[in-house]
Amino acid sequence: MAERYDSIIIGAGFAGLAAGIRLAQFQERVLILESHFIPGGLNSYYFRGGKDKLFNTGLHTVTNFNAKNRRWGFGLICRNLGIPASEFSLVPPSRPSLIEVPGAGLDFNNDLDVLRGSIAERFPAEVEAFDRFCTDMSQLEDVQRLYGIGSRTWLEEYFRDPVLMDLLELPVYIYGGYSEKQIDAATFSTVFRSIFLEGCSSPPDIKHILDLLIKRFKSLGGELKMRKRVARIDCEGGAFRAVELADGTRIEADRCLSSAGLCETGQLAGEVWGRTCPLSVFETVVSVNAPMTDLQADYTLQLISEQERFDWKAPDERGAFDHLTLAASAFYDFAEEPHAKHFKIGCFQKGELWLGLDEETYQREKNHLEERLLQVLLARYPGLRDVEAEHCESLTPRTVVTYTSHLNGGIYGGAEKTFDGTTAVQDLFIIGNDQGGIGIMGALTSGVVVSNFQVILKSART
Amino acid sequence: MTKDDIKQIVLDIIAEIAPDEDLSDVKPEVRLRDQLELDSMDFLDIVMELRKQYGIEVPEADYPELASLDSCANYLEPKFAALGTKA
Ligand SMILES: Cc1cc2nc3c(=O)[nH]c(=O)nc-3n(C[C@H](O)[C@H](O)[C@H](O)COP(=O)(O)OP(=O)(O)OC[C@H]3O[C@@H](n4cnc5c(N)ncnc54)[C@H](O)[C@@H]3O)c2cc1C
Repeated sequence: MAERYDSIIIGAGFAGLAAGIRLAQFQERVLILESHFIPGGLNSYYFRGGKDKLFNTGLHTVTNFNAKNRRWGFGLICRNLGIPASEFSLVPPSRPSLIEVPGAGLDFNNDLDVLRGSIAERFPAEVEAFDRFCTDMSQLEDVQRLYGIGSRTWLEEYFRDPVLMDLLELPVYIYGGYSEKQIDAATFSTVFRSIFLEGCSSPPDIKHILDLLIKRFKSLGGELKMRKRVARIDCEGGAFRAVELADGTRIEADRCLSSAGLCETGQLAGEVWGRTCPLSVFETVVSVNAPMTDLQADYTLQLISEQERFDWKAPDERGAFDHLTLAASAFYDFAEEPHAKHFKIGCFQKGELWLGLDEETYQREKNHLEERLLQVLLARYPGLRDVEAEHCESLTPRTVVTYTSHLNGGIYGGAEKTFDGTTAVQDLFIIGNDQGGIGIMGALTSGVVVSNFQVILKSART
Repeated sequence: MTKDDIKQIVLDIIAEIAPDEDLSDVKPEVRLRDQLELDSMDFLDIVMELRKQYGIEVPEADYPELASLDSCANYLEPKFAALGTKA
């Protein structure tokens, strides 16, 4: 007899764990299958040089910090998962952050007035438009229309200055640009609101939140199996039946929620779904042990475009970069100064250019880009020049593919989303990045919302 | 367990689910949805809490019985009474 579950979830990233918790509150048998031996997916962790030396992959910032309303953002997540907000141990940044395009820059932090003041100084004629934009954003009128238009079209309904629009788009695309050129205005507004209106934060490390989610999932009777890769999704008469693991085990369930991605899930089911996005990421992390006061860093995040006119796409050449993200992970209000301070610098790359290289070329290209990024990092955080790096390491599109199985090393999912989470196969749903749940909070929200609307409410009605 | 106890139980559950709602002036005879910002997910969570905290099952067909505090009390009273005799 094959094993049978109420729900199977593919992936123990943020979307999968959130869906698992939500479903385990209502169902007897919920199973999460994860191919890696560490949870977290795109925002995971690893150790280098000892059990106390943890490195986060990703984790520049956790958004929606001040969203306490139970129907949205962090508030919605806490309430639906049954985890008090305080247990996430999130603290706000201790420094402002910077958005920069050639010739212009804006500061922001969790107080919207900082961004507003920055805009008032540089673009006085646009402040009124900015206020209107922010007000409209928190009570969106016609979301359906916004799904159908690009973010620039929408911004042009408010603003006139193209440089300001570049500055407002840059951070949103860096933290959610799931397709080249334009993303839809609805997703844009969600990410904008999450960063600027609700504010940023950080936990001590990402493992803290992952452990919290897993503990909650298990306390509800959920089962989590690591190192179990789903190799095939078995459908019958247009409906989901079972998954087949790489080791040949077949597991049946009433439904399946997949965070593997829309294209990736399609492949598992023998279907062609969605469209991959060429954008992947290269990121270098440097760890230093100097006291914070020696590091003289002004900004928690620095989001930079080197393009004259903002144009969201990965450079055609491997190793070239147009957009940079710098993150100083220690510059949050932690009760205790973290021992190791991690500084990250990332840029966007065409994933495919980093896949299928011979080992020698790969290492050479990796070292080359790493060196160039380190130069920028030192220029941007000059205090780092005088301290010794304890560790330095880079993540490439190949790393992303190896540890998350996302095609092209995509970090915000494919260029096509299924916003309601449904697929052409009955009882097979998409959660996470490819449902439109982008980022850590976005993925958590996606796991909750798809479980609520596609599973829990539906089964209550039948 | 009296009907008033049961109304208090339901109010306590709502207070947990919707901590931002003001429950000081909930009218027992008026539909909860008409005086509080509760949606269908919230009602499901009330059902879930009744099951978790008291072992009481509310089948889908009976959800309309939870419309107001009065109807909750009427509907849940025999269920709570049955629990008492089982224990
Ligand atoms: C370098 C980097 C920096 C980032 N920085 C931030 C940040 O600062 N803030 C922020 O909010 N977001 C950030 N993100 C984005 C964020 O990590 C993602 O949007 C989010 O984690 C997506 O979660 P998910 O659950 O949808 O997918 P994933 O995290 O990709 O989870 C999918 C999981 O499914 C597993 N899986 C896939 N296929 C199978 C299979 N066949 N069988 C079994 N398991 C499978 C994978 O191993 C993975 O664990 C960053 C991402 C990267 C890469």
